[in-house]
Amino acid sequence: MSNYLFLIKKLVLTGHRKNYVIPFHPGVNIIYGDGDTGKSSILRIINYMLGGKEIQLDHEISSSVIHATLDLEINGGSFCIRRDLYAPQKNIEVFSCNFEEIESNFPSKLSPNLNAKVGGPKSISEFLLGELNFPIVKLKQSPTKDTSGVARLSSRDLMKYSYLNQDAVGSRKMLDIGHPVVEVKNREVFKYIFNILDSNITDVTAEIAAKAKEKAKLESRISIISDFLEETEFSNSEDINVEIKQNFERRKRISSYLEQVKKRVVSQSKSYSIYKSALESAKLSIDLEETRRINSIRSIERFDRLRNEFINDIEKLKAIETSSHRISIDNGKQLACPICDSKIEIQKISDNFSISSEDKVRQEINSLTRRVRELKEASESHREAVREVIQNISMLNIEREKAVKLLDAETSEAISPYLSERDTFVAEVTSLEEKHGQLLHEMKILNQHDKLTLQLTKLTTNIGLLKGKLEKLEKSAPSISEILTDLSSDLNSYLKKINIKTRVGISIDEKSFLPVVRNVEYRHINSGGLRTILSIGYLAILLKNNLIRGSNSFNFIMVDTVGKYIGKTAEQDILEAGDHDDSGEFEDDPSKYRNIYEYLIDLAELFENEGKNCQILLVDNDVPQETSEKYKGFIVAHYSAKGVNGLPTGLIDDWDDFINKAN
Amino acid sequence: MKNNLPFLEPRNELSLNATVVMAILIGLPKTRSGKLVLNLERLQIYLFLILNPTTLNKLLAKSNKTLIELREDEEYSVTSVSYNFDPLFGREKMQLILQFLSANGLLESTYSKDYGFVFNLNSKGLETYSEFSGEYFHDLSKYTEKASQLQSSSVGKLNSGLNQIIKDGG
Repeated sequence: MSNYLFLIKKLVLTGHRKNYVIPFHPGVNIIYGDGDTGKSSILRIINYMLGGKEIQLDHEISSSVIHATLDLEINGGSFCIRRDLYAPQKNIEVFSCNFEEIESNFPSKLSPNLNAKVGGPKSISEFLLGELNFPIVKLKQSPTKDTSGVARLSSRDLMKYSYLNQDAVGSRKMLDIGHPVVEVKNREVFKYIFNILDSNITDVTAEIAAKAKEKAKLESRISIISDFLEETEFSNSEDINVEIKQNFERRKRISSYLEQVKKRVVSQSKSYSIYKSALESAKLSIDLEETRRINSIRSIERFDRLRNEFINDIEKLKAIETSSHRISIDNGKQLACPICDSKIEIQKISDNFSISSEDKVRQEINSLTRRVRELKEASESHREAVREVIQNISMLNIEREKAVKLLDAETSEAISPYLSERDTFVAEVTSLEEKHGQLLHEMKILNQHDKLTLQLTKLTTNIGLLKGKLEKLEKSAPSISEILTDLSSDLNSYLKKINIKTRVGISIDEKSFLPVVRNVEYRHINSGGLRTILSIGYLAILLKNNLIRGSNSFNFIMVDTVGKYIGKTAEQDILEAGDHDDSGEFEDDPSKYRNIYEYLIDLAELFENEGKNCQILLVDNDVPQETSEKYKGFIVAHYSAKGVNGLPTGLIDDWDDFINKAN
Repeated sequence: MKNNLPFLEPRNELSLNATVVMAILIGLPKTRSGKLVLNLERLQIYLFLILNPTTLNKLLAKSNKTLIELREDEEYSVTSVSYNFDPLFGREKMQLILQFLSANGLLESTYSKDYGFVFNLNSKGLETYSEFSGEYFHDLSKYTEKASQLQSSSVGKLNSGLNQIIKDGG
């Protein structure tokens, strides 16, 4: 087990399309790049994961990310804090494992509220302070009065001394300076950090008692679960692991059988498709023959009707031939009607009837007789064609039936067995998957048991540590003046490293506990550049004291925009600061900017040399030229809005692609 | 009507029409009681029916009479499926046929109280017709024999029967 007091290992943003992972290491971690690429969001999300109230997210993030997980190590234990980014009031989940093992662990629920309900889940603050083994105390809201009300100290109060957001760096309002109530509380928090609260000894004693009680409770829980596991003959985790592995192997094997079966079915169906196409072509030919048959039958009807018509006509023409000998138009030339004396008008008759000559009638009879013969022949040839077509159709029908039989045989002999084989494999895979789910659940139960056991061990260790602390406190409680003197000297050496001119009147104010330079307290310093240096330095020297004294503070700091008001940042920043006293000292001197980085890197090294760890998370628009070369290893993320040199375009590095695709 | 077609239309020939009318005048001149009935209207209807024996059969069937036994060539022809009812309308053609028969000295006309002017063939007409021979004349007597079953029906009844057949699509 490593001995990191508090280490952020990585931040994982679980997205709709992919996960976005930002890894962190012990020591200095630098995130830099163009504006609007999501750098600051990383620190904001970390702050939120550690109990921050709510978070404003960029459109890119809120459209891409479902929830976030912070993988960290506290006092040697692995934890993953998972929190909904959009519902700050929802309970926070804590898994006692690293990120990769989340699926086989049950999470504990933590309330995001500092004042957790009685009987409800612990608050995130209680969890963090407990794991860090810091005493949980109540601070007097008005320390000079004995009757003052008390407020519970929370991890949020400590976070203030670890996180400078973009607005707080170099700001006169850092740590809510100027807010009387908060200032009073901050002073009490400061005292808490350095163990110089009046009530310190009693608090530690009370903490030991509380932890002992918690230990007893935990022991009884563990014994109940152990009994349960024993009585139900629960396999141990090794056995379950072996079973999970076997299950996996078997599933893999059967899945590959399944693939083989599918392939075999496909290759077998080659003959199936041949039969199928034979069947199709037979059907098509039958249709064509049917059409031919219908056409021929129609022609036969047409020819026969016409032939009969001609036969009739021939008879009629013969009758005309006979009668026109006897009765003719020539016979009535002189005739007139006896009643009206009107004469028969030949012209009128020939307007209404045709009167053909004998020759013409004779010719027509011959021509029709010939045509009757021709039509008979034509009709006969069509009848022959119909007989042929019918024969063809019956042959095609035989062919078709043969294809149908072959197809049926193919289906039942060649494909059906594969289908049943496939069904068997599918069923087997399904049942194995179910079993896998069950095993995972069992694993989770066992892990829960292990987790409690681990908690118990940790609790025992913590009680031991607290006892040692109590002993030390009782022997030599530090005095406030001692601590302030040490801090002043640390501040002086910091400013020396930064190379601030006129280093006189440097101290930590006895009342406000804020830095003083040239006898001017932080909030009254006019130079924005100097305030930036001091605000970062203040956090840095408190971190250094964490190393020296083991104070009650996080051993990590986060600074958003180190170069604010100094060195290489845009002139706009200086204007915004509203200062007139920079005399060019801070805006012109990139060396000061570089020196801040150097100091922080040295500080991290100091921790390392002592066999301890700290984390310094820095966000900046740029880094000093030398630092970027010399300390490449510290850079955990570097974004370029335009993707220059193949750099990711931001935290949500697939956003541009996504937008392009969507358009 | 001048025939400009490259073939003859026997139905349109004056001789054929005159011959058929003569066959009607011989076969169907009187009722059973001996009354002459063939006025112009009835002649016109009979001419149409005799030229279209399939329609004649339909009309007989409608009146529950015995049908003509038609041969395949009579029944299964183009005419039997493509009807032309025009000859039923307009009296001019029948007038011309009667004028033609009369000019040949074959017709006799009487006035009847019930039917107006009615026609029959005179002795010359009967003699002339008896000299005609051939397949078609057999057919004609076959038709008139069965058509005689309609003699007792009035012209109005025959017309309404034909109207019905026209409505039914021929």
